[in-house]
Amino acid sequence: MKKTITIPLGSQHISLLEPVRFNFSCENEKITDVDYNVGFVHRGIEKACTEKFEYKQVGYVVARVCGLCAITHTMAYTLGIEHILNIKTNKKIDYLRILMLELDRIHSHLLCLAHTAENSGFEGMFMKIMGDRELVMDIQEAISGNRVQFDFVCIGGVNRDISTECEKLAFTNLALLDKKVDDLIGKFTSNWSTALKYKNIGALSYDDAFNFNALGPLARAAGAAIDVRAESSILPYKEVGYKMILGQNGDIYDRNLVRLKEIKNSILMCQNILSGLTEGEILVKFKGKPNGESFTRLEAPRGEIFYYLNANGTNMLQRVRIKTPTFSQIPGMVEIFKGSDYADAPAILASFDPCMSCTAK
Amino acid sequence: MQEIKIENLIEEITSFYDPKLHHFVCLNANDLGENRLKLQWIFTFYNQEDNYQIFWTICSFDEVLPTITKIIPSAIMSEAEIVDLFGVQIKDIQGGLYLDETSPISPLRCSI
Repeated sequence: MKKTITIPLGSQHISLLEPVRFNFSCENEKITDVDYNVGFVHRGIEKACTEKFEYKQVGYVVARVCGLCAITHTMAYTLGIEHILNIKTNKKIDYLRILMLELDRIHSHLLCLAHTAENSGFEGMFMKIMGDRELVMDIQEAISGNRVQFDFVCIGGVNRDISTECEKLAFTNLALLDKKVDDLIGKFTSNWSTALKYKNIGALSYDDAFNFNALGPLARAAGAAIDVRAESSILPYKEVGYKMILGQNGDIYDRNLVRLKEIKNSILMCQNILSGLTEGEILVKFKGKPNGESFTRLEAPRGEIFYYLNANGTNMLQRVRIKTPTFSQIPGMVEIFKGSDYADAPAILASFDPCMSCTAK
Repeated sequence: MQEIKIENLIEEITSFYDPKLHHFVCLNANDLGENRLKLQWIFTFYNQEDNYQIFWTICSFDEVLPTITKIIPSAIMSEAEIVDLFGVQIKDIQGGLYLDETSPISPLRCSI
């Protein structure tokens, strides 16, 4: 009879700087079962949105759900409240919003790839990717005035227009980053530490991607064409060069490659937007208080985020429901862990790109 | 949107849900006061634009609700969340995933 031992990973672990704990039941090196705890940082943001802050402030509060996809949270909330208030924005506002969303995706994907490299023991690659990431962080800072909590989007539009200097900086940095990503694709397809040893490791099958409701790069790496950008007309993604990126095997190798190719596509979208930006207002004026409900989905860097809003004609909302990508993917993650070697667990975990700050909100 | 009776939930979801066609977004709860809770099971259709299917019902906090995790395993996260945040009872779903013993009890329940 094999002896089962339980090995915890987290709540603080060097492979993931997020408060989550997995308890792995292992027989020899193989993981046979997984228990999880995600509730270390519950902050009550949904409650705060209905009891402490008025609806015009909530967009800035929900940005604090996550430091990486802050812009996506504000955007999803804003689009939801604009739907209730029947606010129609112009093309320029829509394009500026997509620009910031895609810049967010680029820096989030780069951070995930850096962590994957770090978990494979390639510290130098981690430093290199984090250095490359500064190029996109600089663009975001120049456009929004902030480095992490951008507070760029507001109800009816955006808070700042893009200047000629910003445009120039964005073009220069994006072109530079595009070349660096080509170099990274080479590293993530041919290097032993970051690529070859992760073939067939931590794989999610095509069928399981659907059975476990996988989202974002996790699903797309398995070949499942799941992307809110392709299923929502709320932002004009098809006009700016969006292309679905799919993998085949659903392993760590494919997840890394899907992220890198998505960065290339996001760079292209940003360049297209910057080339085609026209003059126009950046804010649509509106009157009244929201009354009704809305359901809004957006594709965050890690997958779908969803906002349900319910308003009753006052300044305070009745209900704000936030569903984040990692939240619904945990059962799928657990399934991937089962049967894997414990030694691969940190790398598999990093390749999920989990966000516990989002999950516990 | 489709109103359902809570006793028909499993039957309705089973006959509707195909994992290759439908995406389960989440289970949403909304406390309406006076011991009434509105529940919404939100789905979308893969590869279709802006197409939602929402099953909804109104029930009381005293009822023990059925779980849909046998049909949709990932629904466990949504169900465990409303158990913690609203104090809803769902068959076979334990609390404690998001909150612990020192946390406020059912913090999103306004009628407590």
